[in-house]
Amino acid sequence: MLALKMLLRSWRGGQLGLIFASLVLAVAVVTSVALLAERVERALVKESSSFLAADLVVSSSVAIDPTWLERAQKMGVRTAQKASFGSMTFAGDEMHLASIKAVESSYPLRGAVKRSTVPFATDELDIEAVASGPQSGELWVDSRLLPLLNIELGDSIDVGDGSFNVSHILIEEPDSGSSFSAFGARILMNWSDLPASGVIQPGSRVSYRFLIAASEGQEDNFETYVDWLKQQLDIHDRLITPDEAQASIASTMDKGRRFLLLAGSIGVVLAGIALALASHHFANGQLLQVALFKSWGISASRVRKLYFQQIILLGIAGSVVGLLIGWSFHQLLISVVRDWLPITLPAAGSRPWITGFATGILCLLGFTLPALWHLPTQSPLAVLRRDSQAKSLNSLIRGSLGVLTVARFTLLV
Amino acid sequence: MIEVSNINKQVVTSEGTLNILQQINLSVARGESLAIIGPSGSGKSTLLGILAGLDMPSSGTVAIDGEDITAMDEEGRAAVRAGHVGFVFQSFHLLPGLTALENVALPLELQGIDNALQTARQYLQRVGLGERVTHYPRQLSGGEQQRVALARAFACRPAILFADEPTGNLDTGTGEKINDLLFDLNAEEGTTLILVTHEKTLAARCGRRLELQAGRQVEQLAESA
Repeated sequence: MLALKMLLRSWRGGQLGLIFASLVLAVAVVTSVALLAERVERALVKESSSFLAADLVVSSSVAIDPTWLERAQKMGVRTAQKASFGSMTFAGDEMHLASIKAVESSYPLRGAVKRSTVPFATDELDIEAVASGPQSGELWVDSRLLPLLNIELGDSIDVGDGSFNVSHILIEEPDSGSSFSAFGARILMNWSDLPASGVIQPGSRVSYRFLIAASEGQEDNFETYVDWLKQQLDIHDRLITPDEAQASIASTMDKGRRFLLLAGSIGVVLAGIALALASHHFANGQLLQVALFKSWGISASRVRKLYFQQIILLGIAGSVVGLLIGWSFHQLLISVVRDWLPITLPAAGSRPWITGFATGILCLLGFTLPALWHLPTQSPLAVLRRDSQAKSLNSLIRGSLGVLTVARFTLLV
Repeated sequence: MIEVSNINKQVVTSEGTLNILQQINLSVARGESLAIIGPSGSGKSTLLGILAGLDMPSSGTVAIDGEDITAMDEEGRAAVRAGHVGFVFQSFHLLPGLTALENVALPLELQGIDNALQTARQYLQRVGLGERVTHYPRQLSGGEQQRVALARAFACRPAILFADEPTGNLDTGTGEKINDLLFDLNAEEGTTLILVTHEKTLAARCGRRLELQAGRQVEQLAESA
């Protein structure tokens, strides 16, 4: 391929070093920032997921469609079902309208349930965080239910047709902030006990929740499943994201994103200026070559194609190197701040890599291509007369293209 | 091969219209050699540019092998140049980032010719630079650079070679050697040669001479000395 041969010769002649370095710098800055932003964002999402007890939740007024569960199982997506409802509880002559939450054994998918054997416990030593809810036949109850029903831990209470052992005090569950806790003492029961209790009947007012979370290393499957799930939702269903679940976390994430975007934009602007200057210098060095090409009968369209191919090849090479350097730099940044980070950063997805690579191509199109734009219009007469050189693109237009490139970049991140 | 009829070239300057060439008529047969001579500013290089299809006359026609290149657009003239024309320049115009071999091979590569490097190597050997193929222009003397330029021009096997002051930047001794090489290669390749020069000795080696003064022909197709 002639364009590649020409590119390698220009590289060897030292004419591309500055362009390549500027390009690598732009891509490396953006990649490192994007990788860091993505990982921090994912960590924050994961943290906020614990407020939701999942990565995503579908809230529904009807029971969850079994096909959703089957597909999730096939795609390796973790699931848990939850049903919230109000029901009368009885212990001897005492009764209380409690807020009951029936959860599957896999609940919670994110975060932990806090329980205790000490009523009204406030001492952390008395509180235990566990990864799942009560076993079948057990109930974990709000402390205030004990005096309300005049019972103690270990006693049994009746819920619907079933009788259950009150084994623990429920201190806190991840999604306890929902409206579920607005009335009555909270009770957590096992999902498998629902049929025996017979508390849910046709016409019962039940709020169903379908909790889903990505399995480790299967984030892509999760995204695919969510896309599919969104298409299955009907009027009874509502998707709840971590952003919605925790407005404050969403605000933090937004601020973080803006800060990192600003840092990335400054990097792109600086690298863009260097790229534009280096490209202008390179273009001036190519005028004689293009005049020779044209005197040898090479058409303007062929000249344009040859230089465009070189730019694309240079963009690919510079972007790949920039991605590698950006990755190394972000690793370095993380190693420096690791001790101050209260959370473990999960791996980044494909977006930062795509952003970094696209930045390289975008920078070349925005800063280098305008500098080379006039080359094909170079007169072949320039081989005889130096005053016959092509006029370069107006600096105002080139500047505008550069600004547009940076603006486009801000949309990209 | 080349038919020139009533060529005029005018340029508009701040001081008015300037006549660079006026009523030039010329015919060059295949394999002929023609020297365009005249003082500085007489329009020699302008005429060369028009004959080669690099520039357009204000009026008149230039036909190469029966094709009127003055009726063509730049793309059309480029196609004619690609098939017929080669150049040698006063300042050599070698690309500084390329070796001698790559400089000679480049036009061949652009034409998509197979074994471009091998052909380039053969022509460099013919001009006596077989041992200098990996040298860059800055590592070569002026005479050597012009020999590379000659190899580059002849390697494409042009039907017509245009030379603009080919020895203008060289000392007399070196210039003589380059002239010998130019005419030897021209004879071997059977190329039509049109050159612009100040040098009477070089002009004298051409089959015909065309003298210009202030843009006009003052000596119509003078016989070779």
